[in-house]
Amino acid sequence: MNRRIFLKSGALSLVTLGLSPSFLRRTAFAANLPTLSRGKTLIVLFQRGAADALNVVVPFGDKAYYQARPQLAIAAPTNGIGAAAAIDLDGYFGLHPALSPFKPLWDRGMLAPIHAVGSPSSTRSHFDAQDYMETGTPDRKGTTDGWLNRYLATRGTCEQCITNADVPFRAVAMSAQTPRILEGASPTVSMNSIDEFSIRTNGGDAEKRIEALYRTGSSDLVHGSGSEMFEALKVLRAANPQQYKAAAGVEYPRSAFGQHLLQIAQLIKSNVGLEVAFADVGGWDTHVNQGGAQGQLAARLGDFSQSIAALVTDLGDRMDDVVILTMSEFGRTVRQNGTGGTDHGHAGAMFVIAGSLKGKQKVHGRWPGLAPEQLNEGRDLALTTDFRAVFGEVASKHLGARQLDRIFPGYGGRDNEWLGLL
Amino acid sequence: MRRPFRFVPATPTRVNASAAVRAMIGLATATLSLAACVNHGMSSSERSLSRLPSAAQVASREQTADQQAHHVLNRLAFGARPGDAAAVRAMGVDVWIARQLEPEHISDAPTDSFIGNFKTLGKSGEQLMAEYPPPGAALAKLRASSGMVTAADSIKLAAQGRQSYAFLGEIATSRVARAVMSERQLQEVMVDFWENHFNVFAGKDRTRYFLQEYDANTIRPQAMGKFRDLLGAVAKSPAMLYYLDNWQSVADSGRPTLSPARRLAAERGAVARRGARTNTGQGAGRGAAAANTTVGELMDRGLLPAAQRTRIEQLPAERLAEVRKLTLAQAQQRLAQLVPGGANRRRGLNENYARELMELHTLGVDGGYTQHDVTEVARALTGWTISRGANGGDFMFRPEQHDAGAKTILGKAFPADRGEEEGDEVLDMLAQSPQTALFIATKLARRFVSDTPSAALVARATATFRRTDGDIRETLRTIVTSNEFFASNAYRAKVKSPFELVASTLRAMGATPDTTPRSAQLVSRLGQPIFGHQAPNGYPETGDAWMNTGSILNRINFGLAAASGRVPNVKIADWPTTKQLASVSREQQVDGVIQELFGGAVSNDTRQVLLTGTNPFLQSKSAADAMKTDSSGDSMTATMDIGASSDNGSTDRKSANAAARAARRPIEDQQKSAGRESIKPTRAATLTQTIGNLPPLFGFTQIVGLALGAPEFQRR
Repeated sequence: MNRRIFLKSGALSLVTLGLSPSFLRRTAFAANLPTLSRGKTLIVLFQRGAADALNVVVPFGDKAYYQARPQLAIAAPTNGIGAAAAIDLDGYFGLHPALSPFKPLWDRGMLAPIHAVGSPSSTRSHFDAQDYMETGTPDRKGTTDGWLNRYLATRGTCEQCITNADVPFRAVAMSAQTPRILEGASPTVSMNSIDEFSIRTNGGDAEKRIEALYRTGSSDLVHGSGSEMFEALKVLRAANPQQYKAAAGVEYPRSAFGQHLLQIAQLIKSNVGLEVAFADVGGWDTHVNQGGAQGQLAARLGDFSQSIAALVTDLGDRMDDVVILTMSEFGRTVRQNGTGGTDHGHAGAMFVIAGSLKGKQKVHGRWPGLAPEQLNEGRDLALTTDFRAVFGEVASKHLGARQLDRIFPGYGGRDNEWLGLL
Repeated sequence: MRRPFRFVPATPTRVNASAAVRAMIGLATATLSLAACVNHGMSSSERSLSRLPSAAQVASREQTADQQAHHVLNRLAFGARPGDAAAVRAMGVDVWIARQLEPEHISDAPTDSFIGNFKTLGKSGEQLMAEYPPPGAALAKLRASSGMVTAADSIKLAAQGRQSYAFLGEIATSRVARAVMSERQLQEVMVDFWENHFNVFAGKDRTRYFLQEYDANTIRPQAMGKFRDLLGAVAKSPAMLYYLDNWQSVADSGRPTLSPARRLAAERGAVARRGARTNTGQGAGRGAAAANTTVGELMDRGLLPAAQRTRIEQLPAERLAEVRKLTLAQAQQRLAQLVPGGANRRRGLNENYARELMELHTLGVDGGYTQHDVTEVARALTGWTISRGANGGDFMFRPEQHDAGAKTILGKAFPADRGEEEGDEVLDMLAQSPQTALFIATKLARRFVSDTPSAALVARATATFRRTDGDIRETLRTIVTSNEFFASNAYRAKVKSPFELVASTLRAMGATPDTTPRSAQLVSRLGQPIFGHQAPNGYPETGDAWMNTGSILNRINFGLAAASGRVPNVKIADWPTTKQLASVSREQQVDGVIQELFGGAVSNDTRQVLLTGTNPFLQSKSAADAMKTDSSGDSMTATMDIGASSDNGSTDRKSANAAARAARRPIEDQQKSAGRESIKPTRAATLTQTIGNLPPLFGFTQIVGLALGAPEFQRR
């Protein structure tokens, strides 16, 4: 018997005993929302299409970088002028100039770039690599659930966490379909916008009546889900996330990605108990005319960093309880190809952005070098950090995940591989 | 009148349909002719009558006659259309079941004719790739010719990229259309079942090109036949070979393979050993290639391994001419000089299909196999590939890629130097395993009876499966004529999948099927994109997986949208029940709708809500607070309206901006996002965006909307 069914039949037995059913308890709970203690939130952002890590976090100190990319390379901070050159981080690595919104975060010790990180699988298929990154089980295609969902499921084992797990907006994906990373037994909500989470009839009493159809004496699977949903609607209306406008001076980009992050901020500020949020953004598969300091990749990075910087500024002090984790399925070839772009590579780069970073102003991960003999299969950035070391450290230190062996089967919690991010 | 029956596939079968297909059709014909002889000209329904359950059996069923009619329509069909329940009762539930078990006798000309609208159905992957080139191939061609890509090229490529996903809409739409209109309803249910059991994912690289042939040639013809034939057809289908990577699985380096020279001997032996079973005409008759055969000759005869052929074909013309004159061994040395790194290509065993073959297709996860068995089965299936690799073609056995060493599979020894027939024997073993019988019988009972079928029923179905050599039709008969099937606790025990919900809504409302992809999109937006399940396990077969906060909201909105005229071809005004109930009291209207949509039996609570809008349970518990909804809370904003309208029809602004955007965005990304959109739509693609804001619902329309959104309608 899974936990959800247990909860539902549990609700029924409460009714039988003359106690208030769980949805009534939760209604009372919802009325007291502002006094809810602020929990931790993890925001996972997926760059679909394989972002070119070498032009995101630029290894301007590695000579081989410039040899491999005569047209695409980003100039070193000392060699270029302003917007045409990398933004220096530590004298060896720099940010792509379009990532200038990240510079203030770096200066404040809130930005941790990780280089040469990714999946140990050698696949160059977008499909497989995204699958592995979201299931957390490289080279195992049979895995049915995503690692974030397994995290949610393993949290629901202690008494206090059962109440916690009953929060309808505990895990939200800002996407039409449930992403692979959140698929699984633990309930999650996927929506393109908060507005959408509503009964669509405009006026009339159809909504009241349909609610009445689901809130009957029967607490079977279908009625139970319906009751839960109407509870969620109520929670959302009471919290009214949309009342939270962006903080003064914060401008989210109008892009879908920017608007998704705005709504994640609204859910956090309205205290609906958001613990895991997910959004993704495409446009990274730059085989052709990728551009250097300007161009296609620069435009994607501009939207990406402006959106994230807006979110961080908007959340203000609440960033102490928030970690943002970015990822992309693999990196791209070190050498530029014949059409002004790069092809599918191996290791990539991630960012961890948080108010509670331990290693401040540090580029994490061991740099394997870009000389021909240092490359993976003679063509890509080699891997020195398994993505599960990053996921595991964040899940454990930020969210308090304990059962890493269940979240990352076959890998578990190898804390000796952790980078000391948090 | 006596006439030989012949199963005519609903879509054109390709001329080179596998021999397994032909064998199955032949078998069906033979069985039927035999039956016709024995029964001396009895009509189809008369013949079926001879296999009907006894009167005592029928009398011992728990469900009422009314319930039985609705039950079979909800389980062996995608719900009742107006008039269906009465027709089933008139015919007799058991005669109707017997008829559905023999779809080859059911005339279905209107469906066949409707399906004829979809021009890509039944086309092979190879054909589709020629007509709708994959984005990668188009880009490679452009790169080879000019090197750089202009903005105009980008736009053209983007358009081509979108087109290369267009035919996906046709296969998905045809699946919904058949579920809605086909008279062979059980056949359609079984196609749904098997395409899910043998799941493939359209979003994995080129898999989408193979779906048309997978549906038409692999699944559909054997959906009610022998399990072994279905398993073999799937194993040799380009769709499965591609999706689970077996087409790329070759003997690990260092392993002996069947070289071209050894191949003829192996083949001769194989033909002798294989006896009556001939699953494919491929591979035979090409003759042997000696060690001194030139590469050119090997290429012309299609004997060159795909990996080498690709590398050779990429050589400049003068190098190609040179390499064609060499023997294979010489060519390999030369290629190592010509193509840097070419000699060390990483090649080897891929266990993906072998694992899922046992875990998901036959034995089940606890079916008693080990990792060693997975590896050994993968070795036995090396060389099972597609004749033109990622470019499509037919099943082909490539001896030079086949691991020719001795193997031990599930305790049975397989000697060295076997060829294609080794894989066939593995499939025989798996299909005959008692574990497989149990696994398939359990899954069928779960689909047709309940999420937790009784052990006794599963045992009887397993026994039928084993006794009949894996006959799917007979296993089904055991299940759907059982007392467990007609038990009261089986009635409405299953939660509908989104596909079943959409199909049953369209059927209940008497909608004609849709030629546009909209109805298939609704299925997708309710959470079950057709051929859109990434993992090989397919969509869940149990209700708890389909029920959660987000999904129930979508289902309710879908029901309300159907009543509001926002679902393709659903028009309340044209619904026969509307006319019948036009001038009666509200109470009679409620009862009439309940009768039509639920077969006349819903809880008092539900009836009461439909009638008065109040819920007796909540009233009696004085939980009026829980009923309070913020009815002024109309949270729909102008942004939503824009999103909804731009999804339904493209505005001028939208198309004008599209070209500008196309020039800015990376080409492959546009193709990728176009591709993802058809599978897992990312832009303007939730259900609520599709249906937009609904008008207020009153009166009769509201009764229908509430009924379609009610808990009872989520069940079957």
